[in-house]
Order: sequence, then structure tokens, then C-alpha cells
Amino acid sequence: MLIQLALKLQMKALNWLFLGIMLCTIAACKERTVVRSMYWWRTHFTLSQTEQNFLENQQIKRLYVRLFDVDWVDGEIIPIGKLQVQNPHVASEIVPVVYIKNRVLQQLKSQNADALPQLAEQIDGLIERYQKVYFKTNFAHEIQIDCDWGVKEQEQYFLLLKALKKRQVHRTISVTLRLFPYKNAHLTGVPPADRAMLMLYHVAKFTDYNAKNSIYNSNDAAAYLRRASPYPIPVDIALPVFSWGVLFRYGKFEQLFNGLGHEEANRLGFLKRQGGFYRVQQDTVFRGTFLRIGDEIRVEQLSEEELFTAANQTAKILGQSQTHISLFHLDDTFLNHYPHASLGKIFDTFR
Amino acid sequence: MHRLVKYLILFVSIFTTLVSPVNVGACGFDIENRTYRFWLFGSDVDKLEALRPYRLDYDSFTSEGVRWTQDESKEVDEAAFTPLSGIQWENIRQWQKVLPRPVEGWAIFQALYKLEGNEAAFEENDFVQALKGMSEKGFYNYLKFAKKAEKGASIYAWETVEPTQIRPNLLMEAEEALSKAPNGFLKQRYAFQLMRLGHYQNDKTLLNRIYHQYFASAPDSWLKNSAFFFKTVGVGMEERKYDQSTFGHYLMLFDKLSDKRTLIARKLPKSILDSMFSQVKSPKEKSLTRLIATLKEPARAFGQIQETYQLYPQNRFLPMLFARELNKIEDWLLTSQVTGFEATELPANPPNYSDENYNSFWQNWRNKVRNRAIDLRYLQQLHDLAEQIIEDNKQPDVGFYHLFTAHADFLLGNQIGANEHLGKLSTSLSPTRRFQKGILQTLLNFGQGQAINSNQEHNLYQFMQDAVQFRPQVMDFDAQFDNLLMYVANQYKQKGMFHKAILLQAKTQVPVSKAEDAMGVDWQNTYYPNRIWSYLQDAGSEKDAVALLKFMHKEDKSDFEKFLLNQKMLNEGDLLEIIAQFRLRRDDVEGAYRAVSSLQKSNLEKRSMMWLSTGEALNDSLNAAPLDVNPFQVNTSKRVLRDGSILYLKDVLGQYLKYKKDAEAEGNGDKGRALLKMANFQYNLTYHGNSWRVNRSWRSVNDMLNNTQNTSFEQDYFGAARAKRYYENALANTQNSQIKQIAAFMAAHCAQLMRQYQAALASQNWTPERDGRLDLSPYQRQIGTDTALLDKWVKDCSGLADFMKRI
Repeated sequence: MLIQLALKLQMKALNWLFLGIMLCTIAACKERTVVRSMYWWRTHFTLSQTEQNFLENQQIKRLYVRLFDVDWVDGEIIPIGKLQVQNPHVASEIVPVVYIKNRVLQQLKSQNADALPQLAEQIDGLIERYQKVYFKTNFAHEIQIDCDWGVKEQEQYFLLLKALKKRQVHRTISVTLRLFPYKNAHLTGVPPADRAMLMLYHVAKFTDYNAKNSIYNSNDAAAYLRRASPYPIPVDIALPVFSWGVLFRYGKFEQLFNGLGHEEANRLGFLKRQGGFYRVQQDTVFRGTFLRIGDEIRVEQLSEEELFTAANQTAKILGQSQTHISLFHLDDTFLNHYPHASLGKIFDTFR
Repeated sequence: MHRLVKYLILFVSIFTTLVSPVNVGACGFDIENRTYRFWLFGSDVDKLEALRPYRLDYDSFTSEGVRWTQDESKEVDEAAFTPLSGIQWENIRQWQKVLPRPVEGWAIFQALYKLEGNEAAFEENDFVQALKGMSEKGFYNYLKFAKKAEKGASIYAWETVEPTQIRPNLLMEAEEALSKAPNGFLKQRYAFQLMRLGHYQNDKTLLNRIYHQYFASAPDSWLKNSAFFFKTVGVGMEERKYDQSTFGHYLMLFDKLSDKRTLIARKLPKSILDSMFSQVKSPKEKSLTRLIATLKEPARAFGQIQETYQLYPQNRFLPMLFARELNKIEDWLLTSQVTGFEATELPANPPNYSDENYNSFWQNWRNKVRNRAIDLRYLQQLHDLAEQIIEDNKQPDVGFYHLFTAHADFLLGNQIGANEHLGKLSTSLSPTRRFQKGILQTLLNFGQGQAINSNQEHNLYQFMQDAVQFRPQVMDFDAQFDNLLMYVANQYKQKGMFHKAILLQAKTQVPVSKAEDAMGVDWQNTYYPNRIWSYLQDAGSEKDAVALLKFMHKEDKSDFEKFLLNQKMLNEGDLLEIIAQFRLRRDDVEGAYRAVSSLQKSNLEKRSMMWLSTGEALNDSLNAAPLDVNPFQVNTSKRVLRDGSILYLKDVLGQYLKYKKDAEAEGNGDKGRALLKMANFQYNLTYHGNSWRVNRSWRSVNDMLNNTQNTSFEQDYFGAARAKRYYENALANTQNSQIKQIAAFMAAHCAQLMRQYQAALASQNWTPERDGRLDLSPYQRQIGTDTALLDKWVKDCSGLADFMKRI
């Protein structure tokens, strides 16, 4: 009798637990709002018709646009590679992105106390100028800082972010986040920012002859994505749609051919596909580089299927109800690697 | 309920999978902008610059600017320097003429082209002082303005979204200063500043106005040509439309403006150069057009070079093409192969059919051989053309071609030809050429013969003394010099003088990883803060160590030998310890003792191994005594013989020899104990022992797993083979039951370690059930019936160490 009672009670408790789990699952299944975004990472801002059509047809609401890099040149911190805007008209809202080179942060350490707030002011000022001159109405309420900071630069970088936030209290400050600091926040710290854009690429060294695909492969990515607890600040995701060719001579890395994809490589008469490489069949000059017989080019480009795998893989780490999903980056060459409708569906994976 | 449990298990297992931490081996890195941020060359990526092949490029032979002698106050004789002198000379001469008193060119150079951001040094500069002392303040004011204008663009960068705009008030300031300039000298310079600013501003009206007003009718000068450059470049060289006249301007500017030459060559589109070739009329222009186009050619360009020469044999820029071709060939050939830094022969053990990389290795090897043959043939073509040019004697700088052919001969393996061409070089060479000649002579000197004699060393030393004075004038002097020393070090190694090789390589700043490649050394020994000892231990032998000791004691050392031995980290104490270690590896304890026996504390004060104290007593809490043993001590940090200074080693070896004497003594009833102590000592020299440091300077927990060798040393060190033999000897030569049990236990344990080592060698996991078994069966008969202690230790070994100490 007592045993029966105990079993009954246990069953009741388990039923409650099951109900709880179901409720949690239902709550988790509630559709997430996905803001469709793209990156603009070229030095001239002028969209081709294909690129414009893509933005419109796929309802890309946001463009993260790199405005300039901050570098240490001849003893000065200056903006370099400023975006040259030919035609600023675009329907999507613009999030200005500024890339900070690590050596700037290293130099800031040895500068006087004013240097850091002054740099924040200069960055802020130049972003504002871009807004005034080119992007008058469609600047988003967000500024993104791109930096591949390490332990050595952490303190200065975080101080700079705080200084920027102090100047832009009403704006969201977001940062780009590589896989390493995402995985190893205990080493590199969590930036004092409102959001972080996790860049899901460069999962291996492209200089490694034996790497299968250094831009993305699910195994290497999985190792980075597993965290014991969610990342402390809201995370957005950037997926790679770019490609490149990695040139090896006698098994040693030589250089990158940016933008080279399978389609172009297959068209080049001096290349023959063998295994994971395209092998050079005759001495020739390609894009200003002298290629020799036997040179090998590994084309790294995500297939449509791999892109969906990457999307599914990262969708699992998102917790918040609204997220920005971005493709890196907007370029005719890369868009042509995929059916545009498929790229549109990538965003839906995150709902 | 059954179904519910299943759901729960499923849920928990999925959850666990999702949140469980994993190890990551790689780390991510930054994506760079595709337009300009990518690295272009592998050598940059690998930071190979310091070990790039010997430089023979255009910049080594020409001067874009002024270079100075070592004391930095005496300028180099311009005429001897280069036939393609820079415009900075002209500017300095012009300033010297307006000064009221003589000022060294060096000071003017510093003030005009250096000292950016160093206000104090600028104000103290002799040239600036001279300007300040002039009654006419306009000269000093101009210099200040010029400095401000130079910085103007970068300061303004934060204030505009345009890529190359300058602050408008700077233009107004320049206009005002120009209008008030008190003399023609300053007027032309302010006009030059305005042209420069107008160029950045892309203000064509301003450029035309200023040029026509101040330069159009002025005599030919660097200022006029520069102003013309700013006016002509205008909208940019890539986008503009060219006709014969505008193209001719660029050819003229290429000819006259040394500081803009590279820019013009880079910016003129190849398509324009090709299309304008048929339009330009004079042979000189045609030759120049072909030359600039050829500079852009990344592949072989013999036909174009030959044509450039034939069109206009006096073309003074032709050396640019030859130097560039040589650089290309060296990049393709990997001069490192020629100089012995990298193997040109097949490795002794190339991959065989069963190896994973068999196909790729042989495919790469075949391509290397093929490409190398093609490159050498191409080099021979260029070499022959250069000899033809020497014979024709129409080029203004024949010396260059002698140097070129000498270098080409060296690469082609023709030492006689190389020496002949070097011999024909003039004796009054520019510093860069003297340096290049010295490098070549050293390469040729050390590259031949089976040995290296004092004459060769003397010549190298002379060159080293001579070369120091070229430092300020030679590009990447230190990197080139380090290259040379690494080459010579490698030659010492190849010719059996490893002790000199390691001393010489330690004189360079070549990064450790690159030095390893150059020396053919796999430096694992990162515990040594000193490359000499690391290389000696990892790639040397006892013979090399003894040779080094002998070399250190040599009387009447030459200057070069004194230079080699003048090294901070070099001391006899470390070397003797290494000699002792080599001897211990082959079980020559007497020899090891002899090596260290003469040392006293006073000899050891300058030892490099900073973590070692000099002769302090052994701290027993950190280090188990080498003559006892605790095989199950797992804390590896305790295994470092932390206070194991050489004096301690001397004591230990002394004790060991005493036991050895005891063991050999006739009728010694305690022989077994002495043999056991000797076996313990051998055990402690192993990777698993407590005093491995006595035998090897470093240890890492991964050593055994990473080791791929299986020499007798590795057998003894990882597999405890020798220690096992010593324990078996103790077991066979004692009647003491307790010693028998210890010796049998330890011998069986050594066999266990050997199985573990063999498993690691075969890349197999060590399985405790299979490999970890303590197999006492080989010793059953010798142990006898008293096995009480053994039985206890087999179940629980914790008491063994204490028991061992009591024996």
C-alpha cells in the first residue's frame, strides 16, 4: 500500500516536471524577430543594380557599413581607408562600423590620459560627419566597433568603448566578436557594449595546407560555439558568404586570391581540379601573380548546404527575442554564388 | 510512466551534450578588408624578412635620398655613392648656399626630412639654429610652415570625410606667405608647398596658376620638376587619359624625379604603357616605356629586357630590371636552398608508399626540380646578356653588371666566374656595393673546400669590421648581415665545426625559429635561455662540447676567435655540466665526475641557468635524493633538480662512485645495497625519475608522447632499459631478501615503463590492463620464498619509497 502511494506521488511529480518542460519548450518556440542585415566592407560605397535588387527583394533592413579604420601611422592615430561614398542612397538603415587596429590600443597605453577620450571624440566626430554629408536620414541608432582585441589590448579597448558610450548614451554600441573571445570570455573579457555581432568565420588557419575550409566548417565551429553559459550580452550573428582562393606552392602558403570561387576557378583553363585543390597546369600570370606548374589553390567557399548548417548551428546559441542576422558581405561576386532566394531563407532559420 | 522516463533521459542527454565544455585547439582571427588589407606575400606572413635571400634589388644600388656614414656627420661622397642620385642632395646644397655660416649637410637633412614630432631636437638642430640666427626670419618661418603643411593632411583627416583633403586655412596661409616672401628662394619654396597642397586638394586652377607664375619659365631644378609632377598628376594617373604629350611628361618625370620614380612606375597602367609604346618616337622613350612596363611583369621577362637594352643601350635604368629579375629568380629558386639553408637534395628518408603524404611529397619534389631547372636556365640567359652588356660597354654603370654576373655565377655554381667578375669591380665602390661585394666574397669563400681555415676566418672578420661603417647606408643591414652569419654558421656545421657554428649563430638576432631552420636544429630545449647550450644539447655531441671547451682554453686566439667567444652567456660551468650529461648518457660516470670535479663555487658565479643556485645544499623537500627512488611520485614539478647545481652533481657523482667501489670490492657483504643505490641513480636519470635534470636539461610531460626517436638514449631515458639492467644486477648479486624484493619490483616496473614507451612510439594508447601489469614472473626464482614485502607493494606501493630510504 505504502509502495503504491509512493509510486503514485512520484508519478505525479514527474507529470508536473514534464508539464514544466513542455511549457518551457513552447515558450522557447515563440518566433524570434530577425532583422535581416548585410555588411558593406569595401572602400567605395556604390551599389550595383544586383546589390540594390538583392537588398530590396530580400528585405534587408540593415547595412553595417565600414566607414574607416583607425590606425597608428608615423606617430599619430589617424583614420585610414575612409569610405568613399559615390551614391549614398539606399533604403536600408546604416550602422556605421569603425575598425580599430590593435596597435592603436597598444599605443594608447603610453599616451597621456587625454588621448583616449580624445580618440573617442574624434571617432564620434568623423562618424557624425559621414551622417551629415552622406547618410542624413538613414543612420541607425547604433555604432559598431570592430576590433580583434587580445588580452594585451583589453583594458584600453574597453575604456574606449566606455568613452564612446558616454558620448553616445542614446545610441546602441555594438562590437564585433570573433569566435575566440566568444568561447574564451574568461581570457579576453566581455566588452562593455550593448550587443555583440558574432562573426562565424575563420574557424581555422588559412595558411594550413591541411585545413579543409578555414572560413567555416561545422566541426571547428562547433568547438568554438559551445559555451557553458550564454554570452553575457545579446548576440547577433554574421555568416560568411565570401570566398577566396588560398595559394600553396610546394605545400607552403603563398597568398590569397580574394573573391575567387569555384565557378571562376572552374573556368580558368590553367587550373585542373584534383582532390581538394585546383592544380596549376602551366606557368602563367593570374591577378598579377606568377603561378607555376604544380601550384595548388584551395578555393574556400561555403556551399548553400553549409551555409544552412552554419545558420542552424548558430541559431541554437541565440536566446533573445530579437536578433540581427547579417551576411558578410554584400558583393555581386559573392551573391552570385547562391540563389538569392536561398540567401533570404537563411534569415528565416533564425526565427 | 515508462514513456515519461524516456523523455526525461532524452532531454537530459541533449541538454548535457549542448552545454558540456570541449577543448579547442585553434583560435580565430580577424578578417581583413579585401581591397587592401590582405597580406600579399607568404614571406611577410611568416615574418621571413630577416631571412630573405641576399638582397640585390634596385634600392641596394641607388639612393632615393641621402645616406650617411656611421658617425652621422660626414656625408658620403655623392659621386661614389650612386649614379642615380636623389633630389635631397640638391635641396641640401641649395640651403647651404643661403646660410650665413657653414652647416653640415647631416644637420640640414635631419631638420628637413627627420625629427618629426621631436620639437626639442628640432629647435636644437644646428641648421635650425643657423636659420634662427639670420636677420631674415623668413627662412626659419618657412621651415616651420613646411613642417606644419606636412602634418596638415593627417591632422585634418579627422575633420573630413574626404580621403585626402587638407585644411583650407593652410592654403590661405601659404598664399599669404608666398605673397610676402622676401626673396626668390623662399617664393619658389612657398610656391612648391602650394603646389603640393593643391595636389592633395585636387585644385586644378590653383595648380595651373602657381605653376605658370612661379615655375614655367624657371630653369630646370628638382623644385620645378616636382611642381610639374603635382600639376601633371592632377586627377590621378590611373584614371586620366593619355596622349603622347602627357605620357612624355611622365617619362620625363620618371627620368628626373628620383623620389617619384617608384610611384610613377607603379601607377602608370600596363595597358597604357603597351599602347603608348608604338606612339612614342625616340629610342630613349621607347626603351623607357618598355622598361617601366617590364617592371610590372611578375613572370620571366627576358625578351622585354633584351628589347629595352637594344632600343637604347645607354638606358641608365636598365640595372633596375636586372636587379628585379634576380630578386624574382631568388624568390622562385629560394636562395635559401642555394645557400644551404634548405635541402636541395632529397631527404635521407623520403616518404615511402605507405606514408600519408607520399603522393604530395613526390609531386612537390618533381615540381621543385622542374622549376629549379627552368629558373637556372633563365638566370643563365640573363647572365649572358649582362656579359654582353659589359662587352658592349655602352651602359653608364658597367660595375653593376660585374656585380650582377658575379652573383648570378654564384647562384649558378660557377665560383671561378664569380670571383673573376668581383675582381673586375672598381676599388672605389659605393658603400652599398662594397657591402654586396663583401657578402658575395664571404659566400664564395666559405662555400668551397672541405674545411675552414684561419685565413677565411680572418677575411670574414675584416669584412665584419669594414661593413659596420656601411650600416647607415645599407638597407636592412642587420638582416642581411645576420643572413650572412647564419650562412657561415651553417658552413661550420657542415664542415664538422659545430662548436663554432653555435657560437656564430648566437651572434645574430635571427629569431629562434628561423635560426633553427637555418641550422637544421630542432630546438626543443626551451629551458635554456641560451641558444649555444640548447643547440649543443639538441644537435651536438660530447665531441662538440669537448671541442668547445678546448676552443675556450686555446692560447693565442685570433681576433675572430675572441669575437666568437665574447658572449655573455658563455661560461665553463654550464659547458662542463653538459659534458657530464653527455657522459652520463653513455654510462660513463667516472668521465662525468672528471668533467665536473675541478669546479669550485667561484667558477660558477656567471652561470646562465638563472634558476639554479650555485652550490646550495640539496633541498630534500623538493628533490628526492638521486640515490633513492620514488617511482610513484607524480608531481612532475618536484622532478626538477631545482638546486641541482653542478656542485651538487659533483657530490652525487662522488657518492655514486663510492658505491661503485663498494660494489666492486671483494668479499663485501653489503654489495647488494651498493648495487641497489647505483640502480636507483640510473632510474633517477630517466624521464620517470626525480633527477632527470642530471641527464637532460629539460622535461615536459608530453615528451614521451611527442618523441619519435628510438635511439639507445631514448630506450634508457623513456624506457628505463639501463636502470632495469642495474636492478637485475642488484637482484642477482645480493642475498639480502629485502633488497631482492626491491630490485625485483623495480626491474618489473622498468619493464612496465618500456611497454608504456613502446606504446607511445607506436602511437598507441597505453592500456593499464595490457601494459600496466607488474610482471614479476621473470624474477620469481631469484626472489625466493620471502615475498611478504613484494605482496604488500603490489597491492599498495605507498610504503616503498620510505622503505627504500631506510635501506
